Amino acid sequence: MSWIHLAWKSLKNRKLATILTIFAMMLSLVLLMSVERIRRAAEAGFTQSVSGVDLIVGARSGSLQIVLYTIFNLGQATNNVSIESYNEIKSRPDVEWTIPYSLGDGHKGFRVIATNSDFFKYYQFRSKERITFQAGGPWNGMFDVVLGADVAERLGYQMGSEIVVSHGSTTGQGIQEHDDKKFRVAGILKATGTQLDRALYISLEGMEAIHLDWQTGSAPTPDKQLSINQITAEMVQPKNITSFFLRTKNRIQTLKLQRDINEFRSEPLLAVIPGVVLSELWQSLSTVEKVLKAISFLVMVVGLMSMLIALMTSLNERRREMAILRVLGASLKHIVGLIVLETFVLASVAIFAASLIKLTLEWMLGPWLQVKYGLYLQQPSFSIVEVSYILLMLVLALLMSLIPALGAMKSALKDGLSVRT
Amino acid sequence: MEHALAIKDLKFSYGSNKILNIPDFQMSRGENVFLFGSSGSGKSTLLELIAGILKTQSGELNVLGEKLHEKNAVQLDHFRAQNVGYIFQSFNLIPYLSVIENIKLPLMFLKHVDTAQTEKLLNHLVDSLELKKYIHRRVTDLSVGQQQRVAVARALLKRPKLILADEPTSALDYNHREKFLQLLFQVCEEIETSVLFVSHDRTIEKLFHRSVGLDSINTIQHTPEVIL
Ligand SMILES: Nc1ncnc2c1ncn2[C@@H]1O[C@H](COP(=O)(O)OP(=O)(O)OP(=O)(O)O)[C@@H](O)[C@H]1O
Ligand SMILES: [Mg+2]
Repeated sequence: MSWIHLAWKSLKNRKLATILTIFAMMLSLVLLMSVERIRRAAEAGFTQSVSGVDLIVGARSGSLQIVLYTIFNLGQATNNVSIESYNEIKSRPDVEWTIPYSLGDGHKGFRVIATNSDFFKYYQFRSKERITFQAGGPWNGMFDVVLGADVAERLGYQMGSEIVVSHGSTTGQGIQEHDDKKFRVAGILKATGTQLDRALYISLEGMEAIHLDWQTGSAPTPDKQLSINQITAEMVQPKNITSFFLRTKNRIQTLKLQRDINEFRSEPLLAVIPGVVLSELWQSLSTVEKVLKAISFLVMVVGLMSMLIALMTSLNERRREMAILRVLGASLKHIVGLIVLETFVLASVAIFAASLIKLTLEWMLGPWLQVKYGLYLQQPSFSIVEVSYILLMLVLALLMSLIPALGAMKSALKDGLSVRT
Repeated sequence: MEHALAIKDLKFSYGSNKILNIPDFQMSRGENVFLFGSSGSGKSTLLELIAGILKTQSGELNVLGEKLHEKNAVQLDHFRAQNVGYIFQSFNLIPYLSVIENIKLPLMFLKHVDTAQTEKLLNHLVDSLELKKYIHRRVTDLSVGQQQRVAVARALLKRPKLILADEPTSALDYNHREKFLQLLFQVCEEIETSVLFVSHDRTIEKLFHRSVGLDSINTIQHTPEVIL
């Protein structure tokens, strides 16, 4: 018989305590790992709303502000970027591509983003994933609209549905409607789990067209309204955009380009590196995460404590067992080793069970989290963090088992062979 | 011929409580000795010293030609694993192991095990101790007498040259005691093992080669405990 066999049989003999201990340890690991996985998904959904973009450029304001209104539809731009400046930067030799955004209008609580076809071509999120359609495709006509997945689902739109854009409101119900120029759904994007799902996309020309007859921010009186067939391609050339994404040909040029844009002569612009701002922002939002983590760690402590208690309480009734092992030739080291080994078996079973439960939960709840909360559980299932939780649990358990182990050794030394109870 | 046990001026005390002072005591190889003494006189203490569970404090303790008084704790553990079989008064067995697992337990502590030889001896012991029927049973299902026979089998499986028995028969009735001892002596003789058997019950002393009172070899005398 091997030591591990002996440890196993001894644990089996104390079935109830063993099962409860394993359960407590397992529960704490499952909780710890689940919080981590969801945190990672949330962080990824947040910081990976856009990827492969080196700079976001807007009118000069705060760098956080630019990121917030461009990516998250929070707040508003104070100023626009003129199309001349945009074109000038766009045609620099060190720029690979750009995606212009013109913002400000909305539809039933979702924002309307005016952009060009480069958006569908270049926009990337998460780790270099591209935009794909679940139905239809990019616009053909000026009054075509493409919907984010959430918009289509929540508002029940389908291909061909007609949509009225509200003026000047991106968060609530609009007051003034562009109801004279309706848009038709030409495409619906696949769900991405990012902000992309919560917007409608029209062309810059479409945006220009619905505002053609507007003067000083208010709707035209019926007599001044331009009808759709009066509009020419000439008229809808965009004059301003709100901000744009930019990709450099070579990452090394990013900082120089950023400096150049920030010192742009014809108008005050600000270029920000989105990754930096996003992770700063995430840091400041991660209090919830810290609380969850603290709770998980407390649960881990409880799990380890229950293990300690189970081992300690079993020690007294096992004094006889230890005396038997001693008389057969077990050294005090063997006694210590046996208890530590038992702990190792306990912890290993708990870790194995926890991993199994975690994988099952993810497999079962993954799709639901995606649909309901836009949380994408990304690979790998066991990141370095999960692995370090597992190792931490194992190491702490083994360290803590030294307390009962040394206790067993002490009483074995004191008892000798005659256990007086 | 070498002694199974040779004690010279062996002294032992628990703190200030002096228990043993044995100027001179020997046991030959193959000899079965009955050592009697009243409760609390230090019989178990002496056995623990001989088994190397307790460390000697002064004097010489030679067991099977080895000087235990010169050995450290690790060497004593090793010596015990190798050479000494021990039988307790009761609760000899680990309750969550089967009979056969209990019998084979000492092999875990041996460096080299001759598997074929051991298997042969195991079969022989199981046969002669009449345990065949029970080997896969839970030990807790056995009668006390059966449990003690399992303990004998376990103590003998590693062919120790010395068996130390601490009142292993006290839970048995007289008939079973005699039967038990006959079996013990028979298997011990076959593998040339000496037996040092301690008890305060002298009804069985005539079955041994020699009977010795601890009081007669120990200069520290105990006032017999008054049992209330
Ligand atoms: N671990 C110990 N620490 C302190 N004193 C002890 C210890 N073990 C035994 N003693 C004391 O040493 C004395 C001898 O004990 P021991 O167990 O050797 O007696 P014994 O002859 O085996 O008695 P019994 O027939 O009742 O088993 C007793 O007075 C006992 O109280
Ligand atoms: Mg005793």
